[in-house]
Amino acid sequence: MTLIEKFSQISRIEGVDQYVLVDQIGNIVAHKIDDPQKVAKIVFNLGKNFYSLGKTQFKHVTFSRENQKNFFIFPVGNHCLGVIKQKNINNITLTDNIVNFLNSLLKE
Amino acid sequence: MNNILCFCEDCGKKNILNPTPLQNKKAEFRCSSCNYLNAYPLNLQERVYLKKADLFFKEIVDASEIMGSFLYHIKKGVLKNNMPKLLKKNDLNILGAILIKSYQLCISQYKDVNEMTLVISDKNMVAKQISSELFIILSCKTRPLSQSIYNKLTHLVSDNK
Repeated sequence: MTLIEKFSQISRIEGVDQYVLVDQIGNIVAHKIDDPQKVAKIVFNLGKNFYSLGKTQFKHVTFSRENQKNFFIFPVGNHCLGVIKQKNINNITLTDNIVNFLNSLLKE
Repeated sequence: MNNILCFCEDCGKKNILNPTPLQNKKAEFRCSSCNYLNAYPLNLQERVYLKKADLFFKEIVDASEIMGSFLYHIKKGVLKNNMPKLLKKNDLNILGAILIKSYQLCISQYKDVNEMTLVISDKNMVAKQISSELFIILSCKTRPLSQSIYNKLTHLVSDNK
């Protein structure tokens, strides 16, 4: 199984509704998200913003939304991952699930 | 003509005014709640926000989870600062600009965004919009915010919208 195939299993994680993985120049590496080009550009630019505050210090960011489908960004090496959560899961559970998933990928 | 919403400078109560008392571009009215006679230039409505934010800062000053907070205006930069002294005003202007630019970038795609929480190092930076150009940013040790702080923050923001 390629790394991208392994990565696409992120959509099976509890609480993940949509996702997009963007590389260091803004290209989409993998996605299952509405309006991927536009969201990828936002994820890329937000990643740059937060990296400027401290690349190794940036853990993740949450944008809370009225519809509860909150939007998250995680650093993944030189890439950035954008995730939209499902309504019925809380932020901390989702971030823990994603961080565990990313750590398990790194170990492989 | 449309009615105008003005806040009482004394108690912060919302007062709905028709344009008649707005003499010389001043809001001159007696507060419906505390009876205070207000008379302030309309372009200084921001002062009311600042006063309410001051009250909020005082309310959270003893909260152990809060490391600091500041008010950031899109055009004017940092307006009020309750952050650790280590951070100079220029540092906060840079931090505020990055955070608010990010907040607005996300809103360009997802219009219903109402809060941003950045986890960086061992700190959590929470940003919320107070008015079209004014934001409050809290630096916290833990996440999520305690219910008590969250309620105060929501109250500050919702009162101003």
